[in-house]
Amino acid sequence: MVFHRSLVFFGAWLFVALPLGAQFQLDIEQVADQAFPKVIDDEEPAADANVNGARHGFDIERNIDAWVFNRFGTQQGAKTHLDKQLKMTIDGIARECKLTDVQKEKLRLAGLGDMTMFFAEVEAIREEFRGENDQNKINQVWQRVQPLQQRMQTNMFGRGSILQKASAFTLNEDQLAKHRQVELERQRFAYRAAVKLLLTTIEKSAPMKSTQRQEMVELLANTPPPRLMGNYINYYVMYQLAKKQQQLNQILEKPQRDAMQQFIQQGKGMEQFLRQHGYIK
Amino acid sequence: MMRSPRTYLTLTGWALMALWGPPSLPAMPPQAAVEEATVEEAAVEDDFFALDAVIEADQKQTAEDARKVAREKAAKGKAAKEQADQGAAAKAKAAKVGAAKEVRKAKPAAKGQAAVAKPKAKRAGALQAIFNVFQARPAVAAAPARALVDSSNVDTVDANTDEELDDVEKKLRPQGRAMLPQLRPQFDSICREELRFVHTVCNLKRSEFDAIARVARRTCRKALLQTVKVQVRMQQGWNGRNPPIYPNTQGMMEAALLKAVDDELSEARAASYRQEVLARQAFRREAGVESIVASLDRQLVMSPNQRADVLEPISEAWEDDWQRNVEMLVNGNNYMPRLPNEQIRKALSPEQRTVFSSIPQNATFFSGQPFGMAWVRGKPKAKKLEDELQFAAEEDP
Repeated sequence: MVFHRSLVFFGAWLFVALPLGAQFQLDIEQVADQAFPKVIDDEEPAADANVNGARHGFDIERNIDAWVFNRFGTQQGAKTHLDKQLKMTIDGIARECKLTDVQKEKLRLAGLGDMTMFFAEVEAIREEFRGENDQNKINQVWQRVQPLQQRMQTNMFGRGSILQKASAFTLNEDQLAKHRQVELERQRFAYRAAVKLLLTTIEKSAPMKSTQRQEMVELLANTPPPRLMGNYINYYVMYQLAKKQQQLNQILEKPQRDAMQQFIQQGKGMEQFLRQHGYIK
Repeated sequence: MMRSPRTYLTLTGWALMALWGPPSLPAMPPQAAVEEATVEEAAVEDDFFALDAVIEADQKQTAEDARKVAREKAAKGKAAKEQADQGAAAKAKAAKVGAAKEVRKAKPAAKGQAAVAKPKAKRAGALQAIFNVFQARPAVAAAPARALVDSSNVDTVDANTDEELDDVEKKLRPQGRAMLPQLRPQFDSICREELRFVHTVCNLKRSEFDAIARVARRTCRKALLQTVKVQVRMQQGWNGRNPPIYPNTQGMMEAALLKAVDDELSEARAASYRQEVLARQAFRREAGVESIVASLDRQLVMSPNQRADVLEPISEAWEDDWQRNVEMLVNGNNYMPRLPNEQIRKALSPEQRTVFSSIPQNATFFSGQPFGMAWVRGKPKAKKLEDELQFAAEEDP
């Protein structure tokens, strides 16, 4: 009987008080206490709570793992993935160049070096921000974490890695030439795809004839590919587009060039960003 | 005197309203917008007085469930009795005696449990009903689940004339109308450049241009209104079904212009435009497929032969809607569209298959961005396109 009455009382207060909003200076907690026992204790806000709402702390360390390891979840998950990627990379080289067991082992150790260095960098960032819960430091953390996230999402044992450098003194001349040819072909394929994709986006603003499109593809695909084939490859293509203004004048009409200006301007401003992320030296 | 919770609630509600007046509920949206809203949204807005119905429905459901359980028990008992009759007499007698003992033991416990369970179920049902409405979830039986369909069923603008489009624009929600000035330059730019392209390929006369431009502008406006509706839904959130998808503006323009060109121009000139559009579509497909393969290659480290083997089934399975996923793929989103997994896996080694299985694949309902990076900045063009172009003479064949 007591429960029924308190339930009705609580329900009625909720339905009338909340829609009326400010008209009721209702202490919902007092009403709830009468109807139901209080089971949750509110935490006191942190003493150094900032005005942007970090009242209950913010675990930056956990966020570092989430950002770097992304869909792999934890460091262990990422390690498992990288182990597989290393095996696939060495199998790929072995397929092209017919490696001996000693050569495979040397390359495997070099790849382990890449992984060790990568996880050491992650740990260094964790160490630097250990215990931090200030949400205002998010930007700083993100700047540090982003290049690592990029490497996690691409092939860690590609161009610029210890494994690739080790291949220079592990493989003999013929093997090295074959391996470099295959890597160059892979890079050219990916770069050409990125060029075509950017052109499809540009065509939404500046439609081109077939002949113009083909000339644009040849113009951009023959520029030097980036050092890294990551998620900002489209910015690298824009950067190259911005350097080809003279050739654009010959291929495109003025209205098309005008419509393309935003891409060109964006490409011009990308140099620092691309250098910072390892796409150019 | 004991009354039911429903009675207490109703009396208290009426008493409080008599004292303070009716609760100031959020303003009811205009009729058209209510019709536009989903069943669930309408249910939430009008649901204050449906609480009685909720509790009644809950109690009915509880009673119905109890009757169902009793029927099932009776059926089971009958079957057990028949089984016992068919078995050996001694076994059946022993089973009966044993069962009778168990029942005698369990009866007091069951009685106590049942006594507690009934009111608990009643209270739990009513309380859940209160919190369901309080949390603005549908308090009536949910509408039958709709199959996940392309959002063109929800956000499509079903208008083919300027008057109908005016009507749709008037019925937009205020936040939608506020977006129009921001988005219109983008769509005007697309329309402008597509018309210029038609003129470049077909060398239009003024009269031909006017007819084709009417179609282009109407289609562009339709795409704009559809985009606005999607933006509004994205801002307000949706219920998980029919997620918002931006319209394929370029596809809509191409289709509309192809038809207009067929209607207005000679076969030869229309054919030259059609050839250009088909070439553009083929290029888009090529770019999309190669981008997907390149992204897979980064993760799977494929040989040149494997790349070719994987490229073919993806190219055959390509859908224009994948373009949205592909653009996001390049910007760091690892969500692939739904790929032809069986054919791809045939080309891969066991390790590659394991890694391939871990790559997330999304249905093509990913909303993406309306234009990828192709946003127009700056002021809309002051000069009309008609004033910029040089048209062929009307007398020309």
